Amino acid sequence: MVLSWDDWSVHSGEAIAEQLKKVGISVEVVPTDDSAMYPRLYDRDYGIEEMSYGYASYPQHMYYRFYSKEDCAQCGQDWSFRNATVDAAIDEMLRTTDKEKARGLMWQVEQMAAENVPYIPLFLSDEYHAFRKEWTGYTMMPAGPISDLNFQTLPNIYSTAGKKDLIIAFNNEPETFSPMAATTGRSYVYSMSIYDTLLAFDEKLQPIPWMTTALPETSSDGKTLTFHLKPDLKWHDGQPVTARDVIFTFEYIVAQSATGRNSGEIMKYFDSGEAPDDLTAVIHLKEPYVFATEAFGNQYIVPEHIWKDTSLIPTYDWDQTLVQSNPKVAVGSGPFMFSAWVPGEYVKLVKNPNWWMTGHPLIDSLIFRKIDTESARMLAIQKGEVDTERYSVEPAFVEQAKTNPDLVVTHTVDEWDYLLAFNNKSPPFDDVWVRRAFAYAINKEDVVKRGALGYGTVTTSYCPDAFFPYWHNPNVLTYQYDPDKANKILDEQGYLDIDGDGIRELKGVVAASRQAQQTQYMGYAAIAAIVILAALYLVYRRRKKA
Amino acid sequence: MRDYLIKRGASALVTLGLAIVLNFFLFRIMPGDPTRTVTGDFRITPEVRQALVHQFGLDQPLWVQFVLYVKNLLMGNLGVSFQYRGTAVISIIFGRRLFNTFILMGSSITVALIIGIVVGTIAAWKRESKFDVSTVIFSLVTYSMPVFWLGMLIILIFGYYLGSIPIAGTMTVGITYSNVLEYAADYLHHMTGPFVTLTISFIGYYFIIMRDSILDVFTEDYMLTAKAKGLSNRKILFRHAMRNATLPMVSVIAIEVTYLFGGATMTETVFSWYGIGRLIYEAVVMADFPVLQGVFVVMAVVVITANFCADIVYALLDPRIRY
Repeated sequence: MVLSWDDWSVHSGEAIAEQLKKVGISVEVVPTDDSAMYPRLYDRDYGIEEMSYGYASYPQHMYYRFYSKEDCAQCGQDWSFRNATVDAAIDEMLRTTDKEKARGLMWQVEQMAAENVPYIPLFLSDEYHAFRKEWTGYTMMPAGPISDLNFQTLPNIYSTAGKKDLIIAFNNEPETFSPMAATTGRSYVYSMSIYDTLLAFDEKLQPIPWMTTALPETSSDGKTLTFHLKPDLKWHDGQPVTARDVIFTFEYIVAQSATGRNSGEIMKYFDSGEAPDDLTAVIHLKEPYVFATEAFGNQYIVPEHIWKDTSLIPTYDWDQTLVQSNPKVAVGSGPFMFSAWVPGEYVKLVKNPNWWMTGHPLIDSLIFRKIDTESARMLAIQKGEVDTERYSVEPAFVEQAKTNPDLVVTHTVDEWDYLLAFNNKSPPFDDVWVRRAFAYAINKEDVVKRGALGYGTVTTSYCPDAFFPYWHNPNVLTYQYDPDKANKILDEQGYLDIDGDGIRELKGVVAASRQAQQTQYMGYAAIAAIVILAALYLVYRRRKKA
Repeated sequence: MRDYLIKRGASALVTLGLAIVLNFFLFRIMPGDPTRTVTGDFRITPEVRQALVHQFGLDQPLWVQFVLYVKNLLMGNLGVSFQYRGTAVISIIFGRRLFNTFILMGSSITVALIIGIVVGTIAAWKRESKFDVSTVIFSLVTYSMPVFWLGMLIILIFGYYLGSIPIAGTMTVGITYSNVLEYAADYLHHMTGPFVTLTISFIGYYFIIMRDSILDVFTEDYMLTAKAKGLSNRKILFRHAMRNATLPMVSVIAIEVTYLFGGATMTETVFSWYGIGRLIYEAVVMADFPVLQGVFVVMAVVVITANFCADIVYALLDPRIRY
């Protein structure tokens, strides 16, 4: 199964199918629409699937993708991978709060994952960003200079030509301005501009202090986090930001089952919070969590004095017009303030002059202009109507953008990781040797070349160096392309080509499949007989009438 | 005539009822999980997904959802959008989008109709002349041309190289208008691209229908009679031929009325025109059932009403139709 609307998913699938044929494995590539694909994933009604999943700013996927208990319909993992040893290692890692130790345990999990191959990492898509050349000061990190993981670019970007308005072309509109209801990157980019977070991430995706003076202190039992706010933080309406607001934010998420970015983890781990003084927020967890710093630190903090009034701000039903009719609801403490939203045209944010990073943002206003197609966005950038775009330049336009002297094109890895996953319960993929043979038989360079037109970075690890340099285990088994080895494994394991058609047969199912085929032919014959009889009958009746 | 009206009206209402039922279940029987498509992200955790399913009311049995839907519909409530979290569908449809679509489609259909009818009549009259052959070729070419390609060409040439029209949107970004006239001028300037694209793409269709139906009329006996009576060419063409040939155009217009509300998905997308066609596209991509249902209900109402009106106009225009 590959995702029909994603050309990369489809073409990679085709490339892989051809490679597998060389080791005697026949794979049928079925482009499937999402509306059909996800239910089949939930029902485990597939053998192999191949598409992109996506990384967050910290490797929580190592839990969601490998942990048995997460193997449920509509959960993070749809691959029926169950392994008690891996679970135990993940459990231990999750409870570890010492970062060095956690990394050691993460390496173990990576090693075990590589041995069991529940899925095969293929590649990360490339992120190309085109800026008008006068813009500089942006931060390069995984997922690109403008992304919902990158907090530093927008406050720091400036124009050497003295331009004060940054116009970003965007094909989407915010689903909502509520940071509590937003569920996609479409809205996060507004949330992160208007609201502030306790922590941000640096170029290596390591947490750095943001609203806080330092990284939080974790108690020795790992169940208490203490954040220290910077003094003199102000909401856009002039009220002071206090530790009480921080606690309120987390309490609100739990009480209202909010759907914002880190809500899931906060709902799961947040127990209670207290604010001994205005600048100290103490958070008690139900149990220790290795990514607690990141999860809690990455939450948009909202003002209690506005949000406690639920008649003013409904939890979910943030009407599109709400923020237009009452800009007060979009009060945050972030680098930009809400100014205007003309649906279908643009969203305008203006600089917050009282933001804690003195003198920043360096631009006066930030405009997201809605342009629906990539070709029009590229024309607008080349013409200078806009300065850059929200998302990556689409591959077909990269070369053109690179040759334009008015543009600077940046390059990093993007957050979308393409992978090939097995239904680990259904034969023959319940056999780890088959999964390993697949891993050896796939030439990832070729997959990138043909599937992604070369605009991808091959990944051999479950926590790739290109995205998570801190967590990446360099000593892990990487399954270098080796079709001979794949052949040898399959031969040894008894997957032999019995009927000599160049395709290996599954163990013990040859006879069964032949029988099934016979039944099928009998079915066709029966249908044909019925049709012929019916036709004869009709002819007979006509004759009689005549 | 009264019986005719009642009969037509009743059948229109039944059709509408069927459309609503179909409309609801069509989206439900298709496999799909709007929470997954709306969030579109595997990093969404199970807890959040549960919360979303509950918010969307998708954890209710299907018939409960249907009863609620019909109840809300009768009260004029089309539900809330999934993709624009919490925004009422009614305010999404009956807002600037509908205005934009109405203006764009209305003007381009009108202009294309006028040109199509006039040129079609002349071409039929001067059948096989140079004028006829060249207009037929022109209309066949523009009619078969993919409209998005034409739109992209127009953007590239007039928007990028010549810089005479804007690349996207319905207004200049970040501008504040001092008066309505200024706004109207800016709006029309932005509308030039999509307007020209759509007009060109519509003309061919109207032209060919008009030309063919006039040619049809020419073979009628009464045309021979008119000629025999010694009427002038102009009188024959405009009094006798055109009036009879306009009948098929009434059906065409009744169908085109749908586009006034449905918009033109491709053109609106290419020009980033904030209209209903673009909304339909976005709603399909995002599996936003309430919005799709809402748009389709509105369109069903419009189509059925337009056809109802067409039936009446037919009866008025053509004395032969009596039920």
